[in-house]
Amino acid sequence: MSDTPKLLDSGPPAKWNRRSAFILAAIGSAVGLGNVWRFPFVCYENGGGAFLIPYLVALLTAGIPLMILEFSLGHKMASGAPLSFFKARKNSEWVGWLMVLVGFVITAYYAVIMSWCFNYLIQSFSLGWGNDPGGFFTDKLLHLSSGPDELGGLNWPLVVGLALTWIAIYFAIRKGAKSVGKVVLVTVPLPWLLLLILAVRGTTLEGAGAGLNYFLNPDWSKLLDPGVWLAAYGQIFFSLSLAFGVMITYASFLPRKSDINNNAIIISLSNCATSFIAGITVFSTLGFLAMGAHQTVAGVMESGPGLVFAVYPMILNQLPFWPGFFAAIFFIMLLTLGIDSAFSLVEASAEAWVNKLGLKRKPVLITVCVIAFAFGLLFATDGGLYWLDIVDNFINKFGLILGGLFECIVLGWLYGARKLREYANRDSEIKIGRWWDFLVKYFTPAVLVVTFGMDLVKTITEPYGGYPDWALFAGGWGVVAVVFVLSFVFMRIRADKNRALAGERGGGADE
Amino acid sequence: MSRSTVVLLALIIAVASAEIEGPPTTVGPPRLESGTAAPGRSARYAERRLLVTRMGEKGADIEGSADALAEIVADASEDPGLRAAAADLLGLVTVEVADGEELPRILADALVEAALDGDPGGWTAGYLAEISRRKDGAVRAALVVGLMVDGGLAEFHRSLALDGRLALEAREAAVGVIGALEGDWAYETLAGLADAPALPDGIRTAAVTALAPIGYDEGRAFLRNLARQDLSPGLRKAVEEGLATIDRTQYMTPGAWIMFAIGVILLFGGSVLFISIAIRRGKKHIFSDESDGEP
Repeated sequence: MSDTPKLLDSGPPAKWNRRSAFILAAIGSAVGLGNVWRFPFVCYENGGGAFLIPYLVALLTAGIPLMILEFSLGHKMASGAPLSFFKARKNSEWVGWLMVLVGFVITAYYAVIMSWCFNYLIQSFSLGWGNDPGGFFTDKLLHLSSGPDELGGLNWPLVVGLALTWIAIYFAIRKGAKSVGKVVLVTVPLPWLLLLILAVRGTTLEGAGAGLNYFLNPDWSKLLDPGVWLAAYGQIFFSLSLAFGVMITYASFLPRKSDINNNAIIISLSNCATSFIAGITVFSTLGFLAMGAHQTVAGVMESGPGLVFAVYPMILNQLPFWPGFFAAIFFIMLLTLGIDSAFSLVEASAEAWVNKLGLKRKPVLITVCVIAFAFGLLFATDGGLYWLDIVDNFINKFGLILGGLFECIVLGWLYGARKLREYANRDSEIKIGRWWDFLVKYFTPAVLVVTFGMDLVKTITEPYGGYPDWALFAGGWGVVAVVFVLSFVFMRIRADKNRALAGERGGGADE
Repeated sequence: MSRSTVVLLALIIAVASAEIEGPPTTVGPPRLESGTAAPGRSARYAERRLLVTRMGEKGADIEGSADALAEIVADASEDPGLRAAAADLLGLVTVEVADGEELPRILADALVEAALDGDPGGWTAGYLAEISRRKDGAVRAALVVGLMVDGGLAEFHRSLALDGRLALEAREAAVGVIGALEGDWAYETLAGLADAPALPDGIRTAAVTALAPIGYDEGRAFLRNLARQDLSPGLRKAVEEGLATIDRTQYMTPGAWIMFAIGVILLFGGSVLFISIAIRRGKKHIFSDESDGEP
């Protein structure tokens, strides 16, 4: 297109200087705490080793296709998520804002979780959580109140950790792709290396086989359960950083001729491989704990924060040598796993505003970080964990899933899956066929509709977590509603005049 | 399960246990004299039954009547069905034992008292076995057993060993409840039961079966020692099956190894394959590292 050079001049401030930087950054975004504390538990609950079959099928039929969809859009439109959707279909800009806002809300509490990791890291060398890590977590670290109505005061160690997290995030992305490209050279391989060290340590512990049996022993009968297949699609969808606008933004920083399809495959497979190795690490050590305590692995198994902040420290306490060293490794691994997911979400928000208002990057970035930090303070209070739990549940179940659904509808149906497929194939060594159109237009939306419907019915019939209705309305439905309303409000904000000049690049003119 | 359902269920058990004669029951031996013996006793039974019925109604102050309910549960001479109904209600009364953690402590204490009372019919074990058979009941039963502390646990343990043919089935099931409890105490209790030649084979077999999933190396050594003793065919078979269970639990099965290999080959192998394609392409085609994407 004739206006492409203008876009590149006024658009993203920097591009990836190496392909590996882009791949590492995208892997870093996809791989996060969920790979460690969610995947192993989902796998165990849904047939153990047999779950790998629906998981791989979901990867091939939804994960990689959606990744290609987002890369194609971001690369073709060379913009953050809202502007990319604007260029694809003028009235669909709100879908991009919805994705970015969902990501923004998640970053606000994700940073608090990283603050927990900071605090645990400080305690690591002396195993400061003592013999009751669960009690340390809820009582000493979080000062957990009796319920969401008792917010209590700010928890200063958490606030300090939160501030450090936001400073780290700011410096990681202050120069966009240029600084991110350097940071991910450390924050992506390092947790991998540490995870491998922990996996080796775990598998050489007594009782590791018992844990791995729980993780991998296949229960084939589970394959007949539709719920297991939905769990596989849910896991793939949640773990690949899809529908946050991150992959769209990162792809927009790619040079003109890039292999979109292979990048998507490498990133998706690497994410799943990380989940797999995390499962081996987690379950081998759980086997060690179970054996020592004369319990079944199921008896010691927990998912979510309970696994990494209560069960895992208990395991670290019992390691025969260097427990402090392995504890530090574990929490550094969590921090480095989480930081690139967090800054990728902030990057998507910042880029969206830079695109929209045509402002300089630095003030926009500082504003986004400060607002997110302020929002995150809610979760750094004595009752913060309850609010974190409520917001996390609703924003993932409804904000994220609906974001993905609308993305498929807008891009697959309104813009045209074929156009994006042809664009993706243009410079890709591995070509995708028309089956991809089917997956994006019919199959993935159908899976998302079913998942959304089931979640909606369940949430209405069984109030989540036994929380009071007012808390679920304020922190759950309320936050989701605000995110939707703001998506349309932001779409209506008057855009920078240069934005209109920015059009598609690559094959845009041909179409 | 709502309170009224619980009470209805318990009263049905009470009626059934008063009518059925002969076969073992999970809530202890039937007491046909219930409510019909001495006039004073009959009046007390009627009064207690009324209390239990009233407490089953919606909005009843169970906590306020917890002591009276505990008295019914602990009374070995009371009708077993009524005791079960009272115990069910008492299970709804929780006491804060740690910050925010509420547990049915009063029920556990009442059951310990029942065990201390001699519990000739093994009613305590029978009741726990009964609730463990309900939906999600094993966890609840194990929780209650876990709340029986120190001396209480020992008494409960002893009550399982009491001779009482009618309560045998109940006691076997209660041994399974201990297995569900897991942990060091459960393992040691089960090992103690399995290694007690004076106990009926059924209880020892149940103990071996419950011990295997939490035994690991220690359990294997214990069962191998047990196998050297003179055992009945049924118990020997249980020991052999227990050893096989420990092996299955502790070591990766062939199926697990196969899925491990599939995971490694597809995920790691796949990543390596596509990265190598990308590297090859980068070298000979567009987008080498410093090219900024230009050919």
